[in-house]
Amino acid sequence: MSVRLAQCAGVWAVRGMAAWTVLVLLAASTALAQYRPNVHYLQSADLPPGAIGSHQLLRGGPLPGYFQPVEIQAPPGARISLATAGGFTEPQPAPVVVGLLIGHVYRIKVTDIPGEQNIGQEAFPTIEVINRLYPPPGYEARFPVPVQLAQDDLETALSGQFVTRVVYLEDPFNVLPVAETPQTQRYYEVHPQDDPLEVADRLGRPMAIARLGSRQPDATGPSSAFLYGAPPWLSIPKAYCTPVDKLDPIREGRDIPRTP
Amino acid sequence: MNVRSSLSLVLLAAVTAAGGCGTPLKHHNLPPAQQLMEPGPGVGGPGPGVLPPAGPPLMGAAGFGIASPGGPSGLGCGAVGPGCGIGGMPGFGLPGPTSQIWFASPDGAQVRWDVGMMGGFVSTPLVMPGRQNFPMGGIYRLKLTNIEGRPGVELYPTLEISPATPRTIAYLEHNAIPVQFTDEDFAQVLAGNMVTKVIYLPDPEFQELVAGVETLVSTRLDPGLDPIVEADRRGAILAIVRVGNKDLETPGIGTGYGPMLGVPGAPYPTDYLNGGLPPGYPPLPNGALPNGPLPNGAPGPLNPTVPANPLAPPTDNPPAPPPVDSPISPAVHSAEAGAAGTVPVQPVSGPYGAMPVAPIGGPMMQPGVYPTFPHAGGYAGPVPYGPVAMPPPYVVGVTAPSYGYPITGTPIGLPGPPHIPLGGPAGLQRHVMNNWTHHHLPDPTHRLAINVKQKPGFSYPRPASRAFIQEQMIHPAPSYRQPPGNQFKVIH
Repeated sequence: MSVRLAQCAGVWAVRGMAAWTVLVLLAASTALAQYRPNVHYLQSADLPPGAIGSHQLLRGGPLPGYFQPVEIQAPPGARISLATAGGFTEPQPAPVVVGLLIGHVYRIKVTDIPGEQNIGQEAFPTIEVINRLYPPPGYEARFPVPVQLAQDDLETALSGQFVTRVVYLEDPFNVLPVAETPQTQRYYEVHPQDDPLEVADRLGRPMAIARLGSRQPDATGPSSAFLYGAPPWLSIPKAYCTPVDKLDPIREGRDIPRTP
Repeated sequence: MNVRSSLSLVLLAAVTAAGGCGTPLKHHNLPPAQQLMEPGPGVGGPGPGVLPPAGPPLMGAAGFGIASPGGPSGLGCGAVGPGCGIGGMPGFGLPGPTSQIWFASPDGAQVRWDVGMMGGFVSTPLVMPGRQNFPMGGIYRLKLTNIEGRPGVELYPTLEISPATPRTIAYLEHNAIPVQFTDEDFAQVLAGNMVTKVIYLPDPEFQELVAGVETLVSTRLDPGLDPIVEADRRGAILAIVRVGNKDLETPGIGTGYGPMLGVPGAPYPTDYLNGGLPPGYPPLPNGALPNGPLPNGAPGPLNPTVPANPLAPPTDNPPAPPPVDSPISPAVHSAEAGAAGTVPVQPVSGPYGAMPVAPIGGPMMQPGVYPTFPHAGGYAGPVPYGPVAMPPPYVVGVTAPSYGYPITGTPIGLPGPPHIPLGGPAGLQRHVMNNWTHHHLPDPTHRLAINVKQKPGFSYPRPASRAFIQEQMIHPAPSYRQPPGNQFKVIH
């Protein structure tokens, strides 16, 4: 059809039309490149802690009552305490693997943060698990959700800023082909005008939200409100937490300790 | 013409082919969650059927941070979703939410506040930098001493802590609000100027690279700009600090707080009646008095009323009649009425129509009575001097307009003189507002047909229905025939 038109309209008209067609196609391709899913995100990372997790529980599924193993990572030397009724547990060296309920907010205490300027400083971030993994039964502890409290994040929070860190399970069809070590966690800086929860949802499945700030408990001790009621958590012994890549493949499947 | 129309068709086909029918040329948007809490444009309140708060909220009014049965973290009122509604309603007897204030500078300066009673500043001095928790929704008088380089200078700033909103809860539960006094502030104050500092959490479009709070100082803004209005435009206000050079410990200045610190039954200061507003009240146009509930939960001083506490036990003591010469209605002056929880409801005609509003100080406040802290027993924290026991935000009829009343006024509906200048004929005869906002609010779907398609689909080869079998030997079997030479044998 274009051939016939070209023959009727002359050579210059054909060239001009072709140029316009190319321009229109380029514009359309640019629009496609900026494609964003036509989805209204009802939730945002600015919501109060616990709101997203409680929404997730209402969606059904095997979420209520499940203790999702979470590996809380911190800079070398830092120690982590978890909230109990009326206070915090004895500090343990990071990383710490615990089972956390979905939808609850857990206040933790990070002490011994490396750095001369951080001597005596304590950070009290919160962790909210909003989804779970589905590993083989009995091996849940070997696939914890890593929540890394990076040195930069801790120092930024202690300086008075508010840091929100969304941990997501990447889409297997849209992964970054870069090797990742268990000790480090790759992360992206999100522009302040972007919602980290929305970006994480586009990249995969959001699993947990860590919020870091500079707020300290009362001088008389942390209140129940500060600890979000100190929801229960599950202590997971390290014997159940051997990473899969360090298992002996010959012995695998025979005497790997399973979580009870 | 044929050529042009055909070329247009080519263009249209190209665009369709490139974009496809599924190109998101129009995004469907919903307003933010905070705006969704309003039932409709121009109408406040959570919706029909929502009862106003039952009783006088104690200091633990909003359930922020309190473990609630509906949700894991006790989200506050106004937070969307489950676990936020009932759990965030007034928490009777529970400790209230607090904001942590970080007095950052100047180093070495000391801050005191009221503990147990007002005007005493008997708290343990806090040496800057330091932190202190203050209950949300109150106004606190501070005493600032030991300022480096300014010996003998004592200032009495006020610190107003805003109630938490869904936008600020996450920040306030993890961060302290930084408050700092600079040399410029002290110079302005000692020169006789008043300094207002507004600390706010900027909206995303006003945020810097890292999320944090910002401070607007009145002395650094252009003349005529209100730092509170400007901060409210840019984000969510967290705290307001007002500093002046008034010495509150000068003998004979005892009633500077108006009814809060005055003698029981004392009327409001005339400054309030003449258009002046206490801290925490937004500026009003032309000095008009507030008629409706104000954002911080303290309604206008001339709108006595209200909501009595339905949970309070009945009393036989009727509200005390107002003084004859008092311009203020009984609910404002009647200490007995406030104590009994049966303050008479009196509709007040205002820009929202006839609606009940609460007296100044919130429904918990007993007007004219020395305000005792609701948790005086065992509470050793800061005592606010402003509105005590602030109810949570977005409570219909208390901190938000009653449901069904428009909040958008027109020049005709606004109170005040209908024509300016006074004495002249009414100039405004007609006021037409056209709302050209595009809206598409379809009816609910009556039938829903769901067509599911997976790409790529499942494709298997069609099963065989006919077979042709042909065997072929690549290496044919050797011939077992008798060799011709051996077929015949001559026998002699």
